Amino acid sequence: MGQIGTLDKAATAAGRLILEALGEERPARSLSRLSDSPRAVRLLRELFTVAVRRSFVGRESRDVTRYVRDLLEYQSLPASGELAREAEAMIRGAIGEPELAHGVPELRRFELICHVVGDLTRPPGVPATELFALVDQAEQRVARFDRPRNRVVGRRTV
Amino acid sequence: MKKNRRRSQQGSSEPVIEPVIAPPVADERGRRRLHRVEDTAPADDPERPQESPVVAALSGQLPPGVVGGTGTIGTDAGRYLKQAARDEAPSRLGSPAGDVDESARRVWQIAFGLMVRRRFEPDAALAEISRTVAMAVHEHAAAGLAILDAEMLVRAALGEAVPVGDLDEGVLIAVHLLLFASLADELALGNPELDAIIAEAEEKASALMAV
Repeated sequence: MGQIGTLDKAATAAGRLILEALGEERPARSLSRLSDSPRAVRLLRELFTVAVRRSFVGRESRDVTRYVRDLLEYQSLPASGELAREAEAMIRGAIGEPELAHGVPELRRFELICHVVGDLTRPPGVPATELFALVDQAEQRVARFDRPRNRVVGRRTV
Repeated sequence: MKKNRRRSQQGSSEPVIEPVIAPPVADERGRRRLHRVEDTAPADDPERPQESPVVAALSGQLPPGVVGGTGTIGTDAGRYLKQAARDEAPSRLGSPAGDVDESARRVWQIAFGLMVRRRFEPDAALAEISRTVAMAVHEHAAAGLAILDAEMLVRAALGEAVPVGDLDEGVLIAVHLLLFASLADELALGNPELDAIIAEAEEKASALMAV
């Protein structure tokens, strides 16, 4: 079920797709279905960065470990092995330790981004205005990094 | 921003994300693989060169009649660890070239734990741990250690509950040896102090193996 009256808040089609997915019963799964839309995937990466930074910058780093364990256990995923380390690497990579996430495979990155974004930004826990602000900020980041003068050769880390 | 949990989903056995993504196979992950002890050739394999007797079948068991607690290194594994700490080990990639028995792995694990707890307080700031680990990993870049794997093992040695359950034996050995070496260097330990830590590890390992 989509969020009635919210879809026009995003400036881009990719933003509207993401908002719609976040309004579904299972947002992580709905987000993962956007994998065939390069623009949505691109925006989702920036949304991950924005959401993670808003949630974890300034907090004790061990909170990331606890958050990952909580998230994976809640999702009935293995919380004591490689998946947990990769999730922590992705999150800490987004808040200032990019080298940690270098070894995480691309598909696993996308999977973890869906889980984390689906958890951190899902309504109704996050107020609608804050959710729109997050998506708007992610859209601005995409626009900024996609300007020709800001393009970098090779992959940017998440 | 607060996390939100819809408890109505609890108890559902259906995965949230459809399995569109196959679990990565180890070789596809792009990380450099560490030399694994179990990958070494069996001694009777005619296709592979025989390992040097100096590094073959390293053991951490004290010789019969030798008691621990003297502050003197008494096992091959202990001597190898000291060589690694002094950057004189035959292998610079973390794992020795030959076979390593369980007692040797135990000695290295315990020595690593002793060294970690000597370097860090149990509630040490994660940033401080990360800095030291990153420096150690860069110092031993040829071993291709993953920074987070090494950091997790340090935190585990400090008693923190961290996800290290599935780390393979090659990674454990490499981290135990190379981080031990880096921490010894960072603490500027002299030979008597280094010997005492290794001998203590041998003693504890021997006691554990006897149980």
